[in-house]
Amino acid sequence: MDSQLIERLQSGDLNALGELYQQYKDLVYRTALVVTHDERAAEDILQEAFVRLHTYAASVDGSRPLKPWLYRVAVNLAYDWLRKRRWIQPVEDLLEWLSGMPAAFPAPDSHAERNELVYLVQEIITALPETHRVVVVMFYMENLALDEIAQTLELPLGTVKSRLYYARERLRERLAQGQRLIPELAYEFT
Amino acid sequence: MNSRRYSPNYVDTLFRQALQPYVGAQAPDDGWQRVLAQLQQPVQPRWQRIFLRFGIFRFAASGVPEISELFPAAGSSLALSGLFDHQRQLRALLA
Repeated sequence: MDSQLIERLQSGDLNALGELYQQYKDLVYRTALVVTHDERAAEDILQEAFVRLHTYAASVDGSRPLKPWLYRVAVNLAYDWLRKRRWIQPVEDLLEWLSGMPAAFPAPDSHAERNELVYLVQEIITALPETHRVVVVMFYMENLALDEIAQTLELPLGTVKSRLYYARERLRERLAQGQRLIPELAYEFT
Repeated sequence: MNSRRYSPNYVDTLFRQALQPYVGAQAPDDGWQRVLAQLQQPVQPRWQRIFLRFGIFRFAASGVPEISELFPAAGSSLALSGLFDHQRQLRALLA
């Protein structure tokens, strides 16, 4: 399916790009959103990812699934955004303030009812280094296997495992620290 | 305190629960139009988003509005060179 669409895209068919967009837009968007925690950035990354797919269509291997390619682009764009945000964000906020638009839009998690424990885990995920956060997201949210994550991010399998291990240990440590503060954690979970 | 007391299953469940709000996140409705717009006129997404918010493309038939119209409070003293540059590019493309 992907291969036919990529072939059409490589021959300049924009409708093929549109079909790929419809197929993968939510995947790219939520990956960008969970890494950046910023809806506007996720929208921009989604757009840029598909513009890049159009630009680099000739070099995309149509015999392989497109999903890992798009993941990689989305993650790299999200990394770039995180690096640049320090100087971009104040300008954008100023522009939107001047135009009377809200300066920021809440991420989905703030719309939902969250208990203290879920909030704590979200904080831990956010505090992870981006490279580790991406592995956690791919494993727990996208349900990718470890070897798929390794292939997608072009990392050794051992690195993926160690990043996941680190994230789990961080959570365990924080849970242990939080026991005194959150009664829900006072139970044994063994 | 021994952090190993939390089982792998419990830790896995917590991570999944914490990420659950993002699972249903959906891309914006105008996303494809934005991709097409960028392919036709290469404005960086962050500037394009701002233009779209201000309705610049809706004015395309009658010309791009002046920065001073978009930011009446700031007037002509607004020194945001990036925005001016892109406005010039848009004006040239729409001419």
